[in-house]
Amino acid sequence: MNTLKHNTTLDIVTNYTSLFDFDFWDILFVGKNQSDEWIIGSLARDDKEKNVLHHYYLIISEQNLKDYLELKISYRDLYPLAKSIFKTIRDINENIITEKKLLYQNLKDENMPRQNSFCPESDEQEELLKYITESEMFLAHH
Amino acid sequence: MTFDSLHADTDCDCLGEAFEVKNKLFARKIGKPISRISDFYSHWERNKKPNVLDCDNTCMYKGLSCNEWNNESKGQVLAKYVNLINSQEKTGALSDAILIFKIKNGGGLMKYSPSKKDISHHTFFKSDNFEMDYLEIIEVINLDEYIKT
Repeated sequence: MNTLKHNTTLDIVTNYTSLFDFDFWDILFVGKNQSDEWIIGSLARDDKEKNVLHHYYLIISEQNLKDYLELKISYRDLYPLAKSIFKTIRDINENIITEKKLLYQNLKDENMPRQNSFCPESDEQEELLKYITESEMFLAHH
Repeated sequence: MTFDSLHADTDCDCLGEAFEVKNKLFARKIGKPISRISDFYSHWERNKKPNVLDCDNTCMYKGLSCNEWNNESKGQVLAKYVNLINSQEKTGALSDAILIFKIKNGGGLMKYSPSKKDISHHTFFKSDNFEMDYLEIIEVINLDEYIKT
């Protein structure tokens, strides 16, 4: 587990999509960072006692994201497939307090989502899937 | 019933269209153990402020998110909470439950605040006197047990 200063790897700069929101929080979200990598992030825990938010971020391939959006694999299935995994602790206004890079092998099962954590079906999920599919078709023909 | 705390730091009138609730059940996600006052802190009380500080956002952040709980809404509300805990880490999810409650006289007012995806959504505004005793607890639904079934 390596402690990092906040860098821009986790900043979503394009294609930001909230897949599920709850009580004004984006619980599950996707987008691309400045290196054009797909990131899926989640608000994993809202610690009301300490008034901080625990987020996980997975940098994943487009194919893995597509499989997730098509409900072929779950959010939990993305963890071992991820290129990198990060965890942040943020204050209530989402300013980063700490940021750590995690190794999948060192993660406890209880700190990951359930096995059946499939993508919530929504207009946003369908639109993102359509965007990815059309992008692939465009690239295949050019 | 007074709401001086609610309006102490805003000129917005958050109570327009809010009503006193009688004989209706509501649901709100809580942690365990139950009856923690921190589960009934608003975003505003937790110092979370909206990006756009207009009256709609200010009042929503000062209120508490709830859902009306009845035969029509039950399925949608449970689906919402299942999606929530499936996105979260297992340890957090295991400590989550849904509190089904009634509001006793003097506890506060409710405003109907639906969205396209959440048609039974309400916003609860606590009165100055609100304490957990103002909630009549009807049922606590353990989401981990619900998901296993």
